[in-house]
Amino acid sequence: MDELSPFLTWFTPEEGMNAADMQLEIERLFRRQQAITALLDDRIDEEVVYDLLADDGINPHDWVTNAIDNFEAMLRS
Amino acid sequence: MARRFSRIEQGEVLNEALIRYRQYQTERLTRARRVGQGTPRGASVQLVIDPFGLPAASSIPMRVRVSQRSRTIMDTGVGTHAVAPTTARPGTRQPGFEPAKVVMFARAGEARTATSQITGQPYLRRPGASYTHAFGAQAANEAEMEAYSEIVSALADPLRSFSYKPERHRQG
Repeated sequence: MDELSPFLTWFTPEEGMNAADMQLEIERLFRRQQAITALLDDRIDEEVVYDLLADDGINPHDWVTNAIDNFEAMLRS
Repeated sequence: MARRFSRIEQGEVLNEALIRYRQYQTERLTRARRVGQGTPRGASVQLVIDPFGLPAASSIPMRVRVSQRSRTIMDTGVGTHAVAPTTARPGTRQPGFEPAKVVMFARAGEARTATSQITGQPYLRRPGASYTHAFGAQAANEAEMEAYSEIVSALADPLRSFSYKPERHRQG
């Protein structure tokens, strides 16, 4: 477990998903995590990440509060 | 066009997350070692990878550590993106280098929802097991995205969720 773990976003293959759809979701995940890591390293502005998350159907507020929840769990463990 | 989320709307709550992030980084560095008291670290294996961030001509194979439990379940999907060290290619350790990692969460008996598929909401509290495996380039100049996609496609299953940690070269 490292400090990036609480900020992870995910991709889950669905039954019947074709290869092109799967590739698209993998690319979106890859791009999101690159951006999130760049934010944590102070290389890009948070608004870039928020817009990217929203484009991918993730509510930025949910993402941030989820990260906080995950940190709480890690700090308590 | 996506809705724009303003700094005012999100800034305060992001700051809270970043404060936790720095706290956790500090705590990891300063936490007293509980020798013999903590949970024993699981067995691990050493592997060698070719980093993505260096041109093929000057690439140095890096030695990385992967837990044995992750290696067991992800080995076939990772393939030659991470291989056992050999005398000819032992790999080196370099401070500040963090390999790219594929993270896989295998759920245990939980119904999926559309939201959790995308965001993986509080995965640290969901039933299941998490596995992480480092990976590198399989061929000269292979892109990180290309390698990642190949590994995830090979491991894909509706009961598994995937995430990713980029390769980092950090100084100091």
